[in-house]
Amino acid sequence: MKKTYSTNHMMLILIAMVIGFSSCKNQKKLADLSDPQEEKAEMENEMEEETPAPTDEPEERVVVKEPTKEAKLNNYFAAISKASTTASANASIQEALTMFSNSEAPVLIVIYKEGGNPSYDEPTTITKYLNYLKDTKNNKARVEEVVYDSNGKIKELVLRK
Amino acid sequence: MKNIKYILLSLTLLFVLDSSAQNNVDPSRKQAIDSLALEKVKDLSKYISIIGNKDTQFSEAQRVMDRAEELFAPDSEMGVSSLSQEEINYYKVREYFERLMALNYDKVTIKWYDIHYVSDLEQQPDGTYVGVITIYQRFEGTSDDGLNYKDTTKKDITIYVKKKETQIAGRIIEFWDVLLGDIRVTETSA
Repeated sequence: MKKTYSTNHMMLILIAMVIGFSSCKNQKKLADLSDPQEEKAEMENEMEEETPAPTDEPEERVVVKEPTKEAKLNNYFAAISKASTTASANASIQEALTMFSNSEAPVLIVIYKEGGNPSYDEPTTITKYLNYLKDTKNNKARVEEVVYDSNGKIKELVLRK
Repeated sequence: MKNIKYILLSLTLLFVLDSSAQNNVDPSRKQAIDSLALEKVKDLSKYISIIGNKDTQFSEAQRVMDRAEELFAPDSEMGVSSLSQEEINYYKVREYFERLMALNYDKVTIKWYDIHYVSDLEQQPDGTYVGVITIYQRFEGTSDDGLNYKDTTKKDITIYVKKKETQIAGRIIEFWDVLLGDIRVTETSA
């Protein structure tokens, strides 16, 4: 009889402990829900733990090179001389002209150069030269020298054959 | 008296050497000028092909005619032959271009090939270089109603090259001015 009492007493203590533990957990959950700041701080702490510590190695930077204005011009020359239709050639001509201070900007074409004494073809204008590329498809000349105005537009162009 | 003679002789020598230096063009530079003139003839062949092409818009053809006309010395003429007649007709270049554009075919193709010097550029007493370039022209005209004409003509083009000066942005630029002269028909075949 005494033994049964002791067993029952032990069972009661165990049940009381389970209820007490469960109640504590619920209380914590309630406290969590009522304080979002604390939850946020906790999440941040967790993230910090997950993020690997920064190393001393420098970050690898991907540099995208912008084409120079000279390269851009050479690209336009190629596009105009290879255009499959007059319309697409004319569109490229209009785009290329936006790089110039005006459509009559002079274009000099060096046909031979030895020392400081170049020989030129007859000077022309940028509009005529771009149309020449469209008509003849003869894109042998490359940009040799570019003179810009104060707005960064091309006011004179020297090409070299 | 003897001194004056020496001074006069030296001055004459200096003058001769100076004018000779001005006229002489080194072989590499001369080659570049030869190539420039040849390129102008090739440009003309492209322009003629565009003007003759029935797909070319009127405004484009007019613009190309202007550019083609600029290649010629004033009053230059173009010879036109036909397999059906022995006579060769000569027209001022602008008139030739306009007649070419108005040809009564539905499709016209004109190709120039075998473009080469038959007479090298030689300097004349006035400083102008003169030479002759020969070309072969293949002409084909076809119409939807069955009209068909083909021929090949050999043509000689006189070339004039002269050193000139112009002012660009306040500075003097010396350039080689290439002008085409008369274009004469020398052979016509089927």
